[in-house]
Amino acid sequence: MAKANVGKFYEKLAQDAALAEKLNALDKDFAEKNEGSADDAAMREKAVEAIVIPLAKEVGLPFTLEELKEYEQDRLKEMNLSEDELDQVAGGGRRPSRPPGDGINACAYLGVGFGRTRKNGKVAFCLILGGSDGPIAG
Amino acid sequence: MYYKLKDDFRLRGWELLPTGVVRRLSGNVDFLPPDIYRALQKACSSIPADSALFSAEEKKMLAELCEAELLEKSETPAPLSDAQKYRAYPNRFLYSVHWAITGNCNCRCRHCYMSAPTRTEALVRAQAQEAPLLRPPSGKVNEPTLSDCLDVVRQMEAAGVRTVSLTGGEALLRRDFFAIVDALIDADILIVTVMSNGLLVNEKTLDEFERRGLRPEFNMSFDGVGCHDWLRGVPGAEQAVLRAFSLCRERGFPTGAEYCLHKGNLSALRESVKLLGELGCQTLKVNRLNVEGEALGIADYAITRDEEFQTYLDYIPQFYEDGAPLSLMLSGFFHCDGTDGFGIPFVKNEEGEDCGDYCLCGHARNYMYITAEGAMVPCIPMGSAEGGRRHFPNIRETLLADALHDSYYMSFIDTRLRDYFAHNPGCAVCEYRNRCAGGCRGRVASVDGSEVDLLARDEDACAFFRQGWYDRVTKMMEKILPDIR
Repeated sequence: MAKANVGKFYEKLAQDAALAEKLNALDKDFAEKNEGSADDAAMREKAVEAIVIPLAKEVGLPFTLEELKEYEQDRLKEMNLSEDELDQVAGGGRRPSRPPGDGINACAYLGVGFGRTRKNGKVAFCLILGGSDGPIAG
Repeated sequence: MYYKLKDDFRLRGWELLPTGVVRRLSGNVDFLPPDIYRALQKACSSIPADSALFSAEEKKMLAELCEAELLEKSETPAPLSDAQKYRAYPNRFLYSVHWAITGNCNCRCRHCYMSAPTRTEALVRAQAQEAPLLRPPSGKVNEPTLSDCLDVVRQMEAAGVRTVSLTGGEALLRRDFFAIVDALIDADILIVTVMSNGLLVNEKTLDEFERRGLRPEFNMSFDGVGCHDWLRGVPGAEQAVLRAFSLCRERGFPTGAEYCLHKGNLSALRESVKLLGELGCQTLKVNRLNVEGEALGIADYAITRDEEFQTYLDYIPQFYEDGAPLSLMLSGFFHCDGTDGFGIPFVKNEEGEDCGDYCLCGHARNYMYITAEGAMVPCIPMGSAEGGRRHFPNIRETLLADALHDSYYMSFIDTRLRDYFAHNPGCAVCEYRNRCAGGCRGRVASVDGSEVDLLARDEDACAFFRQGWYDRVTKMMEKILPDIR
């Protein structure tokens, strides 16, 4: 049950500026008192144990480090992004090139390949380039 | 230091695509990988930027999102506004809707598939209280009430539709047109195109759009220099639409045009394209007269497929001689968006591609057409033909979100090429199978009448490849643009 508290803690942070500022101050204080890279996994866990978990308990939303990790894994699993669906809505039979390893741009950017063409700096709209080549009545 | 999602962006998700970011009142939609999206969600929870709650990987991702100008840094906690908060739509993603907001029209087009009534007739009937929905004499189409229209807007909003094109009949005829526009703005749905005959595209109309910060494309029918009035059935229509093109250019509104090719305006094509280019029209689509609706009365003006294709073949060199004055689409035969290349819309894929998983029509997968009667169909041609329309639901009876979730409509627009080949064994063994990919479903629906098999092959696309037109146009283009492969 405490795993659910992680989500509630995030929600409380988003709603309570004072709590967010307190967490920020604690983070800074921890960084000043502890040597080592903040990006180091072990140091990060130490910071979570020292700052986040006590703060969550203080606001009545206790959880453990393991529950925090499980919560994050669950959130990722819930985000069932379908590559097939992405392919289809990004242009159907006309797949835009998706440069590999291009950071976040590796994902489909709709609006390109959605029948928009540019001419003279202006965007024109065409029904057909999205994949259909059908007659347009009227 | 905290992260802030920039004011214009909203977090949105659809069935199978839960990681969307949209920009307010725009066509922009991005789907992010889940790990990046999760980092973004956390960043939007006022977690301090240097917090141990972010991993090193997440911090890198967030730096990229800042570079992409999705996020910005903030000295104070910056929670999401209500509009920005994550919203999950219950349906599959649909990008855009072409929406006929009326079946009424102020033209009497000889080829109208709707048999749209004149406004005068409609008003007379309404005053006589004969038909609360202004049902036209044919009984085929009508004008939905404002209440009906606002319900459609609500349904589009509830399904996460991002953009809309307004059409008719003549959309601008509605006295409550801008009430619909305002509802769409409030629903964060961008109007990208207004399809019009141009008669009511005037200073007042453009003022109203401009006042709302909108600059949609006006896509207007133009059926040939010296020929337009005949097809439109209204004296002075040509002068009026040319004036509308000029006005849009002066006011900075983009324009596009549609040209219905028939025996009476074949010879006017070149002059018409040049004129439209001079008037600032940016795109032109040309298709031959489709013999349905009112066009049954002018069937002797229809041209054959071969006549249409030959007209294009003859005209394309002239298009380049004239400096490629606009972005041109000649049916599925040819497309040019400038002088540095060309495309053939009939060619959907490379022949060597593994295409079995591709949607049969990428356009239909992303765009819906809602007729004035409320029929939700995959494209305009399917809405114009009983054979297309009768297969699909009506928005007055079925919620749009439901139509986009586990329905026949969804199943149809998600039909894959392998399903098409199973249905058409002859196409499966054709040497052009992947390039052609069955052609256009809308053309099949509009040509084959009420008993249409919507998965039948498109005879135009088939003829294009198998009767040598593909070879002819590509060889000709090698001469016209020798540097283009």
